[in-house]
Amino acid sequence: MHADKQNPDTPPVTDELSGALKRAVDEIKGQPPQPEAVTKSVERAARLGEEKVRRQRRHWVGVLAGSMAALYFLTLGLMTLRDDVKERSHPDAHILVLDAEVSGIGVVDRRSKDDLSNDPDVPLSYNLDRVADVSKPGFSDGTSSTISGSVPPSSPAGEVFIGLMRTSGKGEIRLDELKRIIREQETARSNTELGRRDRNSLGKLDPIDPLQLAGVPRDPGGQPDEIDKRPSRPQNDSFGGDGKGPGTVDAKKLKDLSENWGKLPEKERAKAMEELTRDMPPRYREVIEKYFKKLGDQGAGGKKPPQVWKPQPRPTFARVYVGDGNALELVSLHVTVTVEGPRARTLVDHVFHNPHGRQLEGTFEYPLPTGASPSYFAMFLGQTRGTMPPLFSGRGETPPLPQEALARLTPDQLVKHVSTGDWGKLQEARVVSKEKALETYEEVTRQRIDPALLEYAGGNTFRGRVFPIPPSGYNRVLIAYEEQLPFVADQVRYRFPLPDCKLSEMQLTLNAGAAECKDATFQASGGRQPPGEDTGGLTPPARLAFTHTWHDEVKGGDAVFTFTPPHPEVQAISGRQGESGPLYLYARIRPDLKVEKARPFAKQAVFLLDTSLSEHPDRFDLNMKLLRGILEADADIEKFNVLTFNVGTAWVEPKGWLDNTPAGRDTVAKRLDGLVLEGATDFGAALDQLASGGLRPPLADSGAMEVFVLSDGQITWGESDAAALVSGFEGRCAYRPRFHCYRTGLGAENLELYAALTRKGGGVYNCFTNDAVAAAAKAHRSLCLQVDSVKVVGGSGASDVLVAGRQAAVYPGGDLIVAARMKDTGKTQVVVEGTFNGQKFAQEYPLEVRSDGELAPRGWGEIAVASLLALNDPKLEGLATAYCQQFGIGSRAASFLILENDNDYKRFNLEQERGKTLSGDLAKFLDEAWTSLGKPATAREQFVRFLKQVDGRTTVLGGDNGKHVAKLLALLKDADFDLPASPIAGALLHKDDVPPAYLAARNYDPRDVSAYLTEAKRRTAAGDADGAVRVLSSVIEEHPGRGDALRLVGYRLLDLKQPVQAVRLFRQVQRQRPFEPHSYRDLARSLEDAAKYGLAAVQYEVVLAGTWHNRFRDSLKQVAREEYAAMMREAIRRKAVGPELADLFGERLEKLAADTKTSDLRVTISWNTDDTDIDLWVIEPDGEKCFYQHRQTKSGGELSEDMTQGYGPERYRVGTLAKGTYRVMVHYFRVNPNLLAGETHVNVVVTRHAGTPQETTERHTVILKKQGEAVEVCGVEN
Amino acid sequence: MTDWERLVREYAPTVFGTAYCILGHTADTEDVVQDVFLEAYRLRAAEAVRCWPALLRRLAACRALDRLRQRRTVLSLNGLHVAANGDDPEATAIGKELAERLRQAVADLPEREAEVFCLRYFEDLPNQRIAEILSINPGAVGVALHKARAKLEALLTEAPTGD
Repeated sequence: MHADKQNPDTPPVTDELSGALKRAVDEIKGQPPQPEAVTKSVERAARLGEEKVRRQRRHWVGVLAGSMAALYFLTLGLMTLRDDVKERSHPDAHILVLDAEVSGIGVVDRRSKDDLSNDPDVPLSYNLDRVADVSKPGFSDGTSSTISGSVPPSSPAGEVFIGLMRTSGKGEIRLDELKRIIREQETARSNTELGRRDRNSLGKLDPIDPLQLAGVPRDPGGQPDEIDKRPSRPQNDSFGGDGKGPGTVDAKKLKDLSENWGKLPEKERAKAMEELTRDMPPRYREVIEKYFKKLGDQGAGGKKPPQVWKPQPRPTFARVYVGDGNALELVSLHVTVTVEGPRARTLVDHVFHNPHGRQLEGTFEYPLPTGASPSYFAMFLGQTRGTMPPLFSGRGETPPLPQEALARLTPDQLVKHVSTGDWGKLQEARVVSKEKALETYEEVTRQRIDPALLEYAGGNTFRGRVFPIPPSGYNRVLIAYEEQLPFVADQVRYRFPLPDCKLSEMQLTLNAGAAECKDATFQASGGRQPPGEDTGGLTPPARLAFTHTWHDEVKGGDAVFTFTPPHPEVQAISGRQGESGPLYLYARIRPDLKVEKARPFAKQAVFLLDTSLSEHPDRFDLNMKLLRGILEADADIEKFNVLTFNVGTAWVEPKGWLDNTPAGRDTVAKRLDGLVLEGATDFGAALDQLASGGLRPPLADSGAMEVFVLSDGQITWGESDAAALVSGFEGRCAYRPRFHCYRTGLGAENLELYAALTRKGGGVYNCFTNDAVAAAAKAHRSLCLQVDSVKVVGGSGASDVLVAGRQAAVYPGGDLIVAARMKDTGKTQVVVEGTFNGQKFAQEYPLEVRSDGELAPRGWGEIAVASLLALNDPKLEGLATAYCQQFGIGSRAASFLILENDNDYKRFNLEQERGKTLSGDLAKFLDEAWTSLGKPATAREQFVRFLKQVDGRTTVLGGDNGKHVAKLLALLKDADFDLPASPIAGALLHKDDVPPAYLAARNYDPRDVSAYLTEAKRRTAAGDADGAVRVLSSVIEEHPGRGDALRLVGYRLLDLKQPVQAVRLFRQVQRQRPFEPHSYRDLARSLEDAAKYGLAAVQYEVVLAGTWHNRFRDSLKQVAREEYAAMMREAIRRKAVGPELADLFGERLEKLAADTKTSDLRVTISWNTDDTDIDLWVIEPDGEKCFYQHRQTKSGGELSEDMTQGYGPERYRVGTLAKGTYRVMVHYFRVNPNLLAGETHVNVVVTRHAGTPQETTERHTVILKKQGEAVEVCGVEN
Repeated sequence: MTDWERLVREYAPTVFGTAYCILGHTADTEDVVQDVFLEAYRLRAAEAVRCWPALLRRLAACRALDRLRQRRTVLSLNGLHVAANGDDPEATAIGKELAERLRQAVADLPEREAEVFCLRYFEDLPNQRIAEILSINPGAVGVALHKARAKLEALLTEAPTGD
């Protein structure tokens, strides 16, 4: 390079410049680099030669860091380690070859470097997915200080290594070497700047099962610089030692120990424990001790209870996730509860702290209790500051209000007492239609304004997005929700799940009207009695107020408030909306019914048992109790079977009915013991199985069957609309089922589904405590009141009388929620008429309508919205949104959105529904709607309706190309819209059927997708495609309704050749994100794979016809056009479409011909995360690299336009291949800058001979974790 | 000393220098050097390199420019090189700001122009050599340089914007 320099005689080149430019260049050249930095860089680069690929080392070390616990345990127990490596058979060997294909887990070989380089199957390049080699000079002579290797940075092989050592024990590594590496990691961790993992999740790092320690196949922080910053531990806490001494408990010994622990005398236990934990840091010692103690308890207790293998229940409190599994720290929590008759409002005031020196975007997740809906959402954006300011402050001279006074305020009054100087600007959310809210949010985020969004995420979780979270600041997020309180053992119960984490402060204040609450009790549990005082009692006389304050740590459990209403048969509240708005009444009626046994309805019973991942473990246990209880209590059930379901279904007795005898019941209990809960919840699959005559032998001639639903009913897969599901089922079912559902208070239950299932009979029963199981198990046999009419009579008159869930039957102990609009205050009565035990039944419930209740109007509104949504008619969604806006209700149809100012709401036309509620009587309207409700809309009608909705913004139908969409739609028949049935086989999966590492990994962090992906890969390799789908669906179960999760799983399903399942997911994405063209393209590609060419063509035409946001660029259309043309040619060639469609395809092909050259090689990438920039690189045989900066190569390679903000696609193609290898690489150019980190899943489709009959397609999925990372996907030989 | 080590020791300082001129930030430069040699290492394994100096220069300039563009979205003006020369703090500050503005302006240039500009004025290379390095013809180098100079002069004489 020295020769490059110019001749010293020629004038310096900067003389060509002048003015500021010259000064700037001179300035730059006058800033010499620091010599030590240059030297350091040279040394690092020189080492590449020995280490091969430095970047991989960093990753590899990252893996090690994340699995420190695992490795350490390995060193002690599960792996045979040697201090002396002289005995090696390969004295010069220093490479381990790990083959992910063999088992996913297993060391297959150790080979020498020379040997490897001569092996064409083991290329030395670093990013092979199939084979990974780890070279470790330290292995041979112990002199080198590094582990380096060519583990693909993101392929599962990198993760496999850990499990691999664990299970095989073949690896060899010197103990002192390993300890040194771990020590290095410790230092690296304490030196890193970024990242403080959420304390709450750290708490869970202490697992009980050492398998979990040993089998964690993940890299928690991604890379070292994203791993937590925690204070460095004192030396005795890190992994020191000289590696001598008994650090080598072998696997057999450990196994013996764990098996016989219960039988060992106390002394021997202590001795073994001492030996086991000698070298360990206290943290792990504690874990091991706990584990063995548990073993001891089991051993002593004799018979172990039936077990279910599933992760911990989900957190019941809010989190703010900021990328890559990190969450903001929850600093303080103030909860204010207002109980009014049968309803309660809970306001939760969170303070989160962002310890990072960066602005972030966060995802706020809030799991609501059963039946609750959010009523208020606001935040203070916070400012960068060192300490947390006071929560409330006075105005001017006046001091802040006392706690009791604050607790009496409504949420919107309360926030006025917060100093905006301390907390930043107050931003309150408004209710807008869900879809518009999301689109506006996306649009506004891009403009760097500060919006926030709270939307229904599926299950009972509401997800809010918070942006921006200022660096090192305190953010305050307030959410309020209202719920109806259940009766538990004749008392009304309110429950608030307490977090189990360290908080600087938590306070819970509850107030209720003293007159409405007899025998009121308040209990704030949570392990040991925390410091703080209960101030119970009457203060002031008319109100009951309880306050409990926790300092330091809250240990989980519940805060529970119970009371007996003075008139249990009718609990009514009433009040005006606003100062002078309409007057509403909300009442819970509990008809006084004698428990009488009804005649048997059916001799057969089916139990629908939910085995999905999110099913609460306690709920599963309760389900098992109910199952046994029902069968034991109801001798009229002669035969039964259990249908387990997640995304697939499996009968516990596949051969037919079981007898309702002790033996039959034991059979079931035995088969369900040790069941692994996994997968998403597809209630539709269970109903399909039930309707499809999967019952063998068929039912007795009566055709009646009792169906017991043992599930929380939270649907995360397939059709999620309860009304559509049930009406579809009723249309197909050939016999008469009667559904029985149980409310348990564990987790959140889908009351909408319960209501839809039981509308024509059956019931929903309460089973909130273990004592209630016996009664609940008999409840379905009690006679019920058939309700004919509910009226509000007397007094000033009422209108809009609504019955929640259109409930038609009430069981003894059950209740009926009635709400109405009242003309005026005064005495009135609710009259319930019906039939009970063959007799006419009429009961009157007198009550007084007042105007001072706060919660009644919104209670009426909730019923109104639920009733409208239950009709499942998209035309009514606008009306539902209008009611949501009027009463402030977050629902399936409406979200909360925060925008900068009023003008923004107007600009996006967000409140067009406001005020457009019905002018007439809503009750009459609903009655008419139910009677005129025709058959459910066909798939075709639904799609056309959807397109019309979308058309408003994307001009799909109205634009120039809209005619192609219309033409295709006209040509397609109803049947073309139906998907082929593609049920997933369920399985009764037991814990011995799956690798312990999988269970341990998901227990460690159920939200981490890598555990599921690794297990899916293993099952695929073992030929269990359905099993792979089931485990993949767990990702959706853990991240319900998230676009990136749906896309990620969708792509994997395509890889697994499950296009029909993929179609279902991509349809969900399309419904959620109709404003993104990728939603249509993804759906088109999956429909194409499912051979639904006509329907796929419609999707492609929509992509081509739509006017999309300009961030998506035209290259998307270009790529879609090519794919569309290729698909049409394929369809015609295969004669897979009818003559008319074939003609149309021919016509379209002619028009598109200009864009449809054949290509010897075509590579297309798409990815699953928004606001992410992934680049496709193709290195041609002559070394020329085709990438975004060099899009045309000499040999004719050509790359589509760079997509920098979305989900792709980027496409490379070359007409004629040159001789040699084309290397396909993907490069993670930029992550979403507002997230701490985030992996992205890149779907790579490699097509050879595209556009010719010889066309072949190969798919790859690559996970990129870190910005700047480049991975070679494959090489294409010619 | 292995071939690789020799190669690194010979050229790494130049690669560092090129990248440092473009980035003006030590840590970023170290990363770029690492990336460049990583890429070089792979190409070496593939025996695809005819002329190491040219390849390394080109890689250095390209990767540093990539990094510069990328950095604009994530990094503000912190972490700038602290100049040790000069006693006049104001002049130092102005000089630093000017340098940084030039870097930002270079990042905004089309790729080819930015590469040519850097190789010419930061590396003092003749046009012919730049043409070889970038595998383009010398005429194109001249054109690109002309355009780059014109744009940069215009950008630098504009008053700095508020953000």
